[in-house]
Amino acid sequence: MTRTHGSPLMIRTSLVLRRRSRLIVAALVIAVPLVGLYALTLGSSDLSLGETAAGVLGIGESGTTFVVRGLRLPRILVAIAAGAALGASGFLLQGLLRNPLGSPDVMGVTAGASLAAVLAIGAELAPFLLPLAAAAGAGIATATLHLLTTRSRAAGARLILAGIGIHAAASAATVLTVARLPFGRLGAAEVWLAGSLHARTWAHVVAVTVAVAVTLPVAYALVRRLGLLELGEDVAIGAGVPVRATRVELLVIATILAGAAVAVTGPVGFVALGAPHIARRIVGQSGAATLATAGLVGAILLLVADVIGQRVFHPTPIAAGVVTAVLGAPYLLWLLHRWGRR
Amino acid sequence: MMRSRSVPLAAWLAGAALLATACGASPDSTQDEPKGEAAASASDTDEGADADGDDAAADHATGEVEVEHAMGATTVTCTPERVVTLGQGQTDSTLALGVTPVGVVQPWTDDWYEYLPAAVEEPTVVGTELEPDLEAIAALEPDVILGSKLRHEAFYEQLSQIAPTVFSETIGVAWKDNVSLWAQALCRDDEGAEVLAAYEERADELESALEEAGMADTEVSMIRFQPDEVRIYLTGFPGSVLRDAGLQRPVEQRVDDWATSPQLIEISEERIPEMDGDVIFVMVSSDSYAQAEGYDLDETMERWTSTELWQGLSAVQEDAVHKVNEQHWNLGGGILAANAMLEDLEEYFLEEQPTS
Amino acid sequence: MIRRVGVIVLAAVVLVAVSAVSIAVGSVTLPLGEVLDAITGARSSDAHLIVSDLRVPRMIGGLVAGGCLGVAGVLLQGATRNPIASPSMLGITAGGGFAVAMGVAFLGLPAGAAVWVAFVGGAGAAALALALASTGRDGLSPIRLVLSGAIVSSLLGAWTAGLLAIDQRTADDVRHWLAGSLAGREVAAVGPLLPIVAVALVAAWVLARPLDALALGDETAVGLGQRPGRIRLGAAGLAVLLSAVAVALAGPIAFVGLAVPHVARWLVGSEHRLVLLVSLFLGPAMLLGADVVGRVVARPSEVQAGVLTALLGAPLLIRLAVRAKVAS
Repeated sequence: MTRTHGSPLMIRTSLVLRRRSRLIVAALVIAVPLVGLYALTLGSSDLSLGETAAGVLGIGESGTTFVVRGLRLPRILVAIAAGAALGASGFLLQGLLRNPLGSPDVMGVTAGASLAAVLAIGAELAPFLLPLAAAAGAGIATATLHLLTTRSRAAGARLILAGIGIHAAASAATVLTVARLPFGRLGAAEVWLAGSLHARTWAHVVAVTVAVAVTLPVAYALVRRLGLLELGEDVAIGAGVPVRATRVELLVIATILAGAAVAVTGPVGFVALGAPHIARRIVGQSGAATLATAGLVGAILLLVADVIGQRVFHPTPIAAGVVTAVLGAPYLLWLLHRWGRR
Repeated sequence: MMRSRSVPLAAWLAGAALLATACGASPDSTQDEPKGEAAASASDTDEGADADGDDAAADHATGEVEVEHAMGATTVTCTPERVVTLGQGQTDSTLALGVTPVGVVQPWTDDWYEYLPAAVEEPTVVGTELEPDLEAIAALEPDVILGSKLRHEAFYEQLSQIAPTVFSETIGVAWKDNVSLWAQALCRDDEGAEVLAAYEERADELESALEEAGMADTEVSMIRFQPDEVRIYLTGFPGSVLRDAGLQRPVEQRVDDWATSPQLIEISEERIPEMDGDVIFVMVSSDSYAQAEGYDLDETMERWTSTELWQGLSAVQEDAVHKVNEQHWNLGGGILAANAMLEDLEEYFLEEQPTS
Repeated sequence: MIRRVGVIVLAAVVLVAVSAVSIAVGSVTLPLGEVLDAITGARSSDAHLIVSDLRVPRMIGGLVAGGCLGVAGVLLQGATRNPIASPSMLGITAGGGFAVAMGVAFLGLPAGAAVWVAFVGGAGAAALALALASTGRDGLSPIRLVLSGAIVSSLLGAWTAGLLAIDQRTADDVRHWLAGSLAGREVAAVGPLLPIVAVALVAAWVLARPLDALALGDETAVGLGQRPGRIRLGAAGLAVLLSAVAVALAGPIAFVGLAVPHVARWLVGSEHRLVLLVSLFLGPAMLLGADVVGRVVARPSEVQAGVLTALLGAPLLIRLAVRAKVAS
């Protein structure tokens, strides 16, 4: 936490940092659509950039336009919005819990969403209700964690362990539910649990975009108070932050973001955990720029995972969630190793 | 970076744990369906199946036909030539109706089912039954797409934008209704009626032959061993063919309500006695099938069949355990598979064992 | 003292009762009379065969695997002085299960080699977790060790998921090994494992006193003539071996090794010999209990015992996390 004020050198450093982070955010803002455009060219048959652009604008062949606008664009937009939501959610939770492990996929939020989704699949709810169920499951898991931990005032690593416990319980309950699913529903459950961007529709895009559009401004408004909270509760109180209310607000926003993302993609791991770390590495401390970077990096991670999943065993696709899990886990190991060496 | 003391970096890898669990662990425990289920949930025969075939009586005529199906009514321009099938049963029955699809989904096995005509190799493969590749389908510019609400409900909207899309309610047990539905959607009602009539006739003949041979009461058990589970089949596609052939089922394998019963159950070893019958058909993969004798086809089967419980089954004692190819007994789920099954039954009951 | 003896007897009685239930209750309902006949050696009906050929071997597998996990948990918690340490929390069962699944499914190793494969995999995972936990600036801490174990488990889980996504065929085989269940294992495998288990249990008993000393702090232990490093290494090695036996018999079962020692300590205090004894009884009781519930909860099918131990054990983990006095 290099939020030291005072010495001229420090002030200069922070100015440099600020300029640098603006540049980084700007670069990412440009990079996301570029990566997205590249992803748009890929599919069961690849298109040229020109064809793709024409498809997006609706001025190309009608077949191409349909493939680009009707099939690829919703998928890419869902990846961007859900990735951004995951990144932002992880950023808020990590800050709130003051723990780098505090991400929705670690803390049982995602597992709660999965459980609810599998229950919904078992109840044969219409597919469009699945996201709602998943979001509700995420909310219930968070509320449980919140109740458990506020009552005992647990914090830090203990909270993470409690989250791991919730995760384990929800995962076991998911297995139990799947074991009792009627036979024909197994496929649907399995596909959903893999965390896939396959066949996303504009309805998914609208759902996740609305959630992100509503919550991100709130998150942005909370960033300053979050920064103070990260310095310690005493500091925050001293600065006039309503600590309890802020915590609840952060938790709610982070859950909505994670729930919305999981709802439209299934449980995609690592993005919410990894994106904020990468953001903090390249932009530095907590702040609006870090929030923005976490979201943008999350979007890129999910996009890239989807591209890898589509290409690596082409034409057999691998779910994006599998890719993030397989590649994300060693990445974390590597990071850990590096940090230990410092 | 976060440097709060209480949060060792090592810790955050743990995060990975969660994600891994999220992505990995739960699916692990899910058993996968692509073991070839002609699955059918509780839903009963589809409404679309017996829908109005009357106004489309035209044989491959031009014009249009409005098909009532699981997702509503869809207008198909006759006669569709470029057909995409999103399930094994659709592929099978479409071929039976004399149409070679332009796009099909992967079979559940590595290679195409042996019972299918060679023409099945021609179409483009457009993903899997669970996750069809919508782009590849669009690229084929189909005239009609055939799928099922059970499997493909979530894709209906996008598919409909590609071509008129007709869904059966479910698959498996309702396969005969579905053949009529596909026939209607392909403007080939007559062919549909023909193949179904031929099948019914053949099944009836088998039934009478069984009666003549005094085997009408034969109770037939159907099971399948897999590495992580063992199943008894109750209804579903294979159950319905047995029923059409007039064969009986062991008491434990009879169901009260054909339409709503689970089509199969997964069992534990304790339920081996429920596998018994006058005959036990063991569905095995074609690889195993080719290996002829011996039950040591895989570990599960070896373990289960080496128990005294299994050895004590009357069918085992009578040497009436018969391996059959799961491709047409279980994985196909269309009218060609049904005929192939009848052939197996004819061969087993009428040729191999002239006396009972 | 009398109370402690009473508790040990009670734990033994609980185990006998649960074992009896595991013979009497299964996915098929059998008349009690038939069950009793079967125990006395009758083999004339399906019910008799179900009891003597399926339920009894399964119970024996559960007894051994559960006992191993309970004792392994005690050893790990003692060696690390960490109430959240256990075979599953340190990645040992996941490592063992992963190694066995890969070895059997991909390399075609004979199932008889499972215990040694599981030992290597479990030891590897534990070493990795330990290495991860020690690389931080502040050195090894209990919480960090547990979180590192969770990371290692997750890593293995992720890779398993990746492999499953690629190879559907092998996936079925792997699932069988990773199920965490007493069903469908080769119970004949128990026999060759018994000498290993016996030696490990004796060694654990011998280590109990040194672990008591260790509980007082390393310096005190040294003062008492103990060598903390050796004790730790020995206890951890034994725990990995015992976990490997459990994995070979039942797959990666989570939370038994975590929960049982806590219940034991709550009952008899912290003296390791007593905790070991009680855990030796309660470990199998928990595993067999979970197995019985799994047999009846989704009839006619079964749910793996590991799923139910997780459902039972996870709340305890949460409780420990928010209440227990663990130095973070």
